[in-house]
Amino acid sequence: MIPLSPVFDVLLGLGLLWLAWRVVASRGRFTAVVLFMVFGLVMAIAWARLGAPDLALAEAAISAGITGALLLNACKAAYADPGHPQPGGPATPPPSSARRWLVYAICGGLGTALAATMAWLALGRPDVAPELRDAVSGHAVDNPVTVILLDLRGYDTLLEMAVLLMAFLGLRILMGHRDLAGLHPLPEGVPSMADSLVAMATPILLITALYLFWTGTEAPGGAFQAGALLGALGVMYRLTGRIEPLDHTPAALRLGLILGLGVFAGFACLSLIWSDWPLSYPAMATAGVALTIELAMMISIAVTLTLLFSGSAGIRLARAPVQGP
Amino acid sequence: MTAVVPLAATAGLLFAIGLYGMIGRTGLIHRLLGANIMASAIFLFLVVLSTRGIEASADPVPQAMVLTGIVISVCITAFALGLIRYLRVMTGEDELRRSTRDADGQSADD
Amino acid sequence: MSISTVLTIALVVAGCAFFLAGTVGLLRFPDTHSRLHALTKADNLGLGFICAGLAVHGGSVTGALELAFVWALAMMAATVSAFLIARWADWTSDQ
Repeated sequence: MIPLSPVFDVLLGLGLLWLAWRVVASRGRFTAVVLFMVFGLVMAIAWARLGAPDLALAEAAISAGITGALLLNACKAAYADPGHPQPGGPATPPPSSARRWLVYAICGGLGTALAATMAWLALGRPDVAPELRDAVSGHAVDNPVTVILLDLRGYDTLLEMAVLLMAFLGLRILMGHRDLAGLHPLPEGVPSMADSLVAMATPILLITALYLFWTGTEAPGGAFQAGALLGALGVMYRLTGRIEPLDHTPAALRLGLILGLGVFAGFACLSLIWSDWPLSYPAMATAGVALTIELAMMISIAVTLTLLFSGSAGIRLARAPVQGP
Repeated sequence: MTAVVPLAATAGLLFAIGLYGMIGRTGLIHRLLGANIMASAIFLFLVVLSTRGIEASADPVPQAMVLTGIVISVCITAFALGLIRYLRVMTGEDELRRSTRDADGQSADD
Repeated sequence: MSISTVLTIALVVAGCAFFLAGTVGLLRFPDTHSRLHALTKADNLGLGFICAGLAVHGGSVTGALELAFVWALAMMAATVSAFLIARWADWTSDQ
């Protein structure tokens, strides 16, 4: 934690609360989504305040960036496109005021009780277990969060890669049944300024992502933040037409999707060669093995996030980039 | 230590606000945003509970868990948005309708 | 209070003043184009002042260069965003 006065904490908390309130209470979807992106960014400030820079990076890139892009894509038809048919059917009748006051009472009571309990719990906390401190400080990898992610709780990260794959598989199953409306094509082609921005952003994002991946073993960073940046690059390519949707998944994309889970699971099985337990690192090449696993995870995360945004079974680089005014 | 009490109380109230978004609003996107806010509140509380003091950085175990949680919540959001789009394509609706069943138990929507 | 602290405080306060002016413009201007004026010009200048103040506070050349890079990236993104928003506003007002 950075030594700051409690006034900053109170202001930060009030800002978070006001933003969250506006998100859930606003009329339109677009307003709610944009405010949610701002909420994600203010939450990143909260993570920095609490001394968790890995979380700040991840929150800004994944929660505010990728989730914001997904949400904006999904609510796009409701506000921007005059030609798109509005959802039909009669609107649900507004809930009765008794029900509304019941909801208010539940949420208000729960909120007060939770706030009081959490504030009371925050006053007294135990210290770090000495075994944890020894395991983290004696490790070949310097960044403690990476040590926890890859080594001490590697099983959680392995399953997390499986969750990423399952999200894409779930979407793929839905797509198989119906043709989900993907991105609407831009009205007059891609404006050249957006195209130039994407062209300039490509080397910057690539270098930043690779830097975050490489320095994840010593400083805040790692595979997730790097993968999120590359996924954001994929999202920008998809938005400017440099990547086109396909209705099948090419073999290279399938490899990219399963690479993270596969390498991690393969390492888990291989580690039985040099140890009695799966998911244990060899004493000689710990940092190298960790970097290899992180590289595979980064590629998988980038491919999965781009495919999740694209909403299609596969993608490919466009043959001729679309140029507009 | 008392320095993190404001953020801890904020986490509790944020959870309630997210809960209101989930049960008090009928639009599906608003419900999804409410769920995300609830997740953020729990993450905040998890990290706040483990701060050591002014000079130390945050405990790495909750940080790693919250990092995992952030990635999982984006996966859930993506899949939920796919389901919402599916609902829109199938029925043209943006909200979950209360199903209408007559006295025989047959739904009027089928 | 050393000279660098005073300079940092002055630069950051100037940056916040520019952000405040930009927000007032966002709230008070009548239509999208004038609001974009307030956002892009005032907010980016405010960000520049804050980056300058932090660079003075940090004291290292590397940090100052990184902050200048951050400012340049933010301006790039704001430029294209403003252009796209203005283009969209024109397109919807033509319907």
